[in-house]
Formats: sequence, C-alpha cells, structure tokens
Amino acid sequence: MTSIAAQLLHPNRILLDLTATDKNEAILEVAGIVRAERDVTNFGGFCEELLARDELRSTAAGYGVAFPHARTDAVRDLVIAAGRSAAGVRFGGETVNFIFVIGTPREKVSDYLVVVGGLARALRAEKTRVALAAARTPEEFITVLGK
Amino acid sequence: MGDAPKITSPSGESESARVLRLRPHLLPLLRLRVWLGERFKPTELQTTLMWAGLVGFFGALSSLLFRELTTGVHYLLTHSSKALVDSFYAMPPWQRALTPMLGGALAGTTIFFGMRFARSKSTDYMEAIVLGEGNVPFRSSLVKSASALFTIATGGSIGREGPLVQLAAMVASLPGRFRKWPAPRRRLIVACGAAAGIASAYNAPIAGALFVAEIVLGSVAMESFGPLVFASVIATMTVRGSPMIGDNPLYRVPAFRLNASWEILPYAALGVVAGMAAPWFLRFLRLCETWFEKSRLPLTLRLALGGAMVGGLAILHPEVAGNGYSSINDILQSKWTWEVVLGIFACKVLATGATFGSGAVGGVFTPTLFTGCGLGYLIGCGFHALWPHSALMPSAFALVGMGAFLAATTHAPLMAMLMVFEITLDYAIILPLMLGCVIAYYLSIGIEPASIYSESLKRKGARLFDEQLSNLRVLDLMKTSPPVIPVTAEFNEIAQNFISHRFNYLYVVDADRHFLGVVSLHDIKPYLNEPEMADVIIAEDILREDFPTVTPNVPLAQALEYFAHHDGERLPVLEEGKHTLLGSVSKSDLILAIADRAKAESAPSPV
Repeated sequence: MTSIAAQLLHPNRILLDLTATDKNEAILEVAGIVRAERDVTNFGGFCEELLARDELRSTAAGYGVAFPHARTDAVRDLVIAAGRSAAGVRFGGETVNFIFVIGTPREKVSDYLVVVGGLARALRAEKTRVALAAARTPEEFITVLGK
Repeated sequence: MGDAPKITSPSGESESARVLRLRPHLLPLLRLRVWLGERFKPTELQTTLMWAGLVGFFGALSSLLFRELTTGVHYLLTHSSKALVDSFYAMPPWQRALTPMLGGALAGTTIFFGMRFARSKSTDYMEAIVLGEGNVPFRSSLVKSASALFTIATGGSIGREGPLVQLAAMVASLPGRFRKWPAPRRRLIVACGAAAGIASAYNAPIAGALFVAEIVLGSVAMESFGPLVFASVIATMTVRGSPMIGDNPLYRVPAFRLNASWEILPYAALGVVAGMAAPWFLRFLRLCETWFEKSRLPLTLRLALGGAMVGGLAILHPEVAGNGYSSINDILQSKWTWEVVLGIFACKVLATGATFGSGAVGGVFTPTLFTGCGLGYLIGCGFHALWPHSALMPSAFALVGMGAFLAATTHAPLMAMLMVFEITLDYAIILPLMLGCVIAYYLSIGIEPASIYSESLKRKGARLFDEQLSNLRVLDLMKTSPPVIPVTAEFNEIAQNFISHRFNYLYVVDADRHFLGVVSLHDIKPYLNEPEMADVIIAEDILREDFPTVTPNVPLAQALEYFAHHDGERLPVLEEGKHTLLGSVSKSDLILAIADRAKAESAPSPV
C-alpha cells in the first residue's frame, strides 16, 4: 500500500525544505504544490477544507508526521503532496517534520483509507522517518516510501 | 536541495501513549465481531429467532409450573394426589358434587378481587397478537390464570391449555415491552409464546407452531413461521426434559391398519358427520354462555353454579371431571362399551357447556378433542357392527374423529391433522385422518363461518385493526435513540460502537443531532489489523453522506422501496425538513408490518 502513495507522489509534488513555521502556513505551503494540478478544480476550497479538517481534530499522527487531508468536491481525483521541515512545525502540542497533504473526491472513502493507511504504516517505523530525513532528492524520498 | 534535517524524534512515551488510545483489547474484539458478522450476518429476523428460542424455553417453564400448581391445588382441596378422574372415582357422591362447585366459587372470587389488582381487563393473547400492540397484561394474566387454576384443579370440564398458552404468551410479551420493540415484532414474539404454550401443553411442536400460524396469524409466511417453529421446538424439548412429561406421545393408541382401500370410505363419512356436528357444538357452547349471562348472577355464583352442574354430572360419570385427557386414553384403549361411551359423551358435552358457559377461564381445545374422540368412537362402533369382519376399529375412528372435529371447530385442518398425528405418533392413521379433517373443515365452514376462536376476536373489533394497519407509517415502527457518534469520533470510539451494536452502519450526527451520514463497517474492515489508523482517522474522514433516509410520515410501502435499493438492515428516520435524527426503522419490522396488513386486507374473517 505504501507503494500506492509512492506511485502517486511525483517528484514535483515534494518540497524537501519547507519554509513555513506556522501550522496553517505549512499546510498551505505543501498544498500550494498541487495548485496547478488538473485534478484540483477549486484550490481555494481545497485549502479551506484542509484547514477546517485540521481544526476539527489535529491531523498530526503523533510521531513527527501530519496528514492534513480533505474529502472534498474541490478535487476530481486523489492528489497527494509532501513537505519536509528540518526545524519542525508545531501542530498543537506536537512537532511535525513531515507533512503529507491528501485530497480525495468525497465519494472515494476507500481510496483515502488505502493511502493514509499505507503512509501511516510506513512512517510509524522510525527507520523510515530517518531515511526520509536523510533523502537528498525528491526521487530518493519516493524510493524510501516505495520500499 | 538543502541538507537533510535532523529528525525531532518524539519521545517514546508520548508515541506509545497515542498508540494506546486504541485500547489493546478493542481490535481483537472488533475483528471477532467482523468475523462473526461475515459468517453469520445476524439480521433482525435471526435475532428474533433467538428471542423466539428464549420465549419457548421460559414459556415451557411457565407451563410446567402451572401443571405443578394444578396438582398442588387439587391435593390441597381434595387430599388426593391421584389424577383428576381417578380422584373423582374415589370420592363419595357428595364430594363429587361439591368439589367443582367449590372450585367455581374460588375461581369467581379470584377474578372478583384479582381484577381490582389488575390494571387491564383484557388478557386475551389472541387479541394481543391480532388486534393489539403485542402486550399481554401481566397482572390480569396472573389473576385469570389463578382463577383457571381453581377451575381446573377441582375438575371443571375445561382445558388447561388455555392458561398454559396465556402464561407463555404473557412471558413472551415481556422482552418486547422492556426492549421497546415495534408492535409487529412484539406481536410475533407473543405469537411465539402462544406456540410454545400449545407445544408444551400437548408435547406437539408442529401443532404448536401451526396452531398460531393457522388460527391466530392466518399465515404460514416464513418471516413469522420460522420463529414459531423455533419457539415450539425449544418449548417441547424443555417439557420433554422434565420428569412429568418425558418424550412419550400424549396418547397411547393401538396399532392401526387399512386392509382394503374401500375401508377409507367410512372415515370420509365420519368427516361428514364431524363437519356437520361441529357447528352445532359451537352453537351449543354459545347458547350456554348466553344462558348464564341472562341469569344475571354475580360471577362468583355463576361459576359456582357451573361447577355444581359439573359436579352433578360427575355423580353419574366421574369421567366428566377435567379436560377429558384420561377419558380419551380410555376410549382409545377401547376400555368401554359403546353404551358407556355414549353416556360419558353426553355428560361430558353438557359439563363442557356448563363450565365454558359459566365464564370459567380455560381452553376448549382438549374438551373439543374429547368430543371428537367420543363421536368418532361411537360412529366407529356403528361401522364395526355393520362389517364385523373388516379392520374398521372404533378406536381408529376415535382418533380420526378427534382430528376432524378439531379441524371443524378451529377451522385449522392442517393444525388438526398434525396435532393428532403428533400426539399419537401413529403414521398409519395419516390417510384417513387427512381425509376426515379436510372433509369436516369444508363442511363446517359452509354451515358456520365463525370458528371457535374467531368469534371472540370478531367481538373485539377487527375492523378497527384493519384501519390501524392501513394508517401505519414509518413513525409507528420507528425505534428511537439509535446509537450515534460525532464527526470527531476517533477510530477506537468507532470500533467500540461496532462491537457494542451489531449494525453495519453507524449514524454520525452533529451537536444538534443533525444527521450527517454514516460510517460503514465495510470501509474500515480491511484496517482492523492496523492500530496506526487510530492516530489519523476520525468519523469525518470516512463519512458516507449519500446514505438513504426516510421521514416519519412516509407510508410503509414507500419505505420498503427505499430498502429495495439499499443493502442495510436499518434506515435513519429524519425530521421532515430539519434533518434531525429521530430514530431508525428496520427492514424486518417493515416486512412484518406489511405482511400483517396484507393478511388483514385479504382475509375474509379476522383470523
């Protein structure tokens, strides 16, 4: 399942050096990667829903990773983008180094679970997070996730 | 690309604390629930079946208790531990006359004082199943059963199956009331109780189920027949496990055979006689009832008078005491000449009229069996006299007479033939029995459209029932307070709810109880082995908004259409225009209610 996320992650959709230090800014910075994507039909709406979902309950998973996501009509197909912050971004009481922004069409509950489940499983392993932290290029980043 | 960042490693303690949010016992439980759900998929009908089994068990226990109490009260009042008829034989004539009279007075007094303690006067289980909400009143059932106890224990010519069925139905109505089931399911479970009562009274599970299906429900649709059969089987197994009953047939019959095909014709003739006599038997019972009512005596005196009449007849023939069980056995064993049987038969019919007419609480089922048995035996003696060298045995005629007379009075031929087959377990009798039952039934309904049971229901306003059913809407079947979760519910809360409730969809509401959608067990099933999902999933993420809903005023037929396009067992009921979740309606309740209505619309008579 991890490989599915890896397949969806194009090198262009990965930012290895996030500049934002604020949670919302960081989410929007990662989301900004897919602004011009064909499958994102309403970027503004997508961002609003991402922030609203995080407001409802923090999307930080507890091990330095956050999954801001939205099931929304603002995307036509599943989109995913990733960002890495060396300094870390505070998500409530947690410091997050990896942010995976996920957008799925409203009716695709299963797709969302497949991607999030795969990523969560892979990223809970500390060695994966260490390898991702050490990745020097987006391609390496994807290779680590695909393992 | 810049340098690789240093990972801010979260402390081991806080990470494990997050993982522990999904308590360790929860996932195996949820997996077990999914495993069971996938293999057994318990629908509401299957749950009803489970309740039917419980009702069968406890209904049978109440029957056993009533039997014990009857023996106990008989001993207290007569100091005799023998069977009723043997006990009456041993009594001096004055005691034979006074015992049923004393019983009648006690039965009447019990009702007189007991009804002050009871809240509802109507206890009829048939009324509860066919006309009512499926509630059999607890207190008045106990009072009437106590009254029946005195009548039966002192030799009243009435069947104990009446109170046995009443008690079993009363026991059966308890879970539906406490669990606030919709009326159709409450009625079905009470029907199961009644079936258990008959099955345990006669040690006859098939007849128990068919009695209720054919006479009370008027349908053998599997939605209702399955639970009736289950309750009957469990009830029969329970009474067979008791030393009082065992697994022997209720009546012992001599071996029977047909030597030639033509020998079946006299049984057809018996069917004709039984079919013509049964309506007159019913009219005689109603005449007795009217006569006692016209006497304007207080109930206690009326019952005492009925008892005194039985007592007077018992001086002549002690066999009239009781429901007729032992006399049927004696007739089947050909212990008496036809002259003796004729005397007992006449006295027994009069005694039944006196007991039933006086208003005693009890059943007329076994007395009806006796009447058919006596009639059949006498006719059999006539045929035997005409063709002494044939295999025409009066006792076989007695058996067929029981079935034919029962079919003609209850208007339930299927139940009658299976009842006689079950209580004798003699397969050889089945051909003449089937023939006799069917002929008697068709003749009797031509003469008298009302059966022994439909009369009382007709009085209680079946028309009202028709109107009630045709007006039924979703609101009438709705269960309030279904389990709900908020959109922020975490994975472990969702899992906990799926374990606690056997639903496949959990309703998600906001703070104002507005319905937002459902979480489907099917969606999360593949992730039950992945505790990490607990960290990232809340109900909002897996919410399915496109779930069908109904409003309270939707007619039942329309609601059924929704179910035709939806694989779930329940639908959420939302307030018209406001989307507030009011409750849920289940497919099983809907099907039961519509089956009820179809039956009410098609049946010419209420039962």
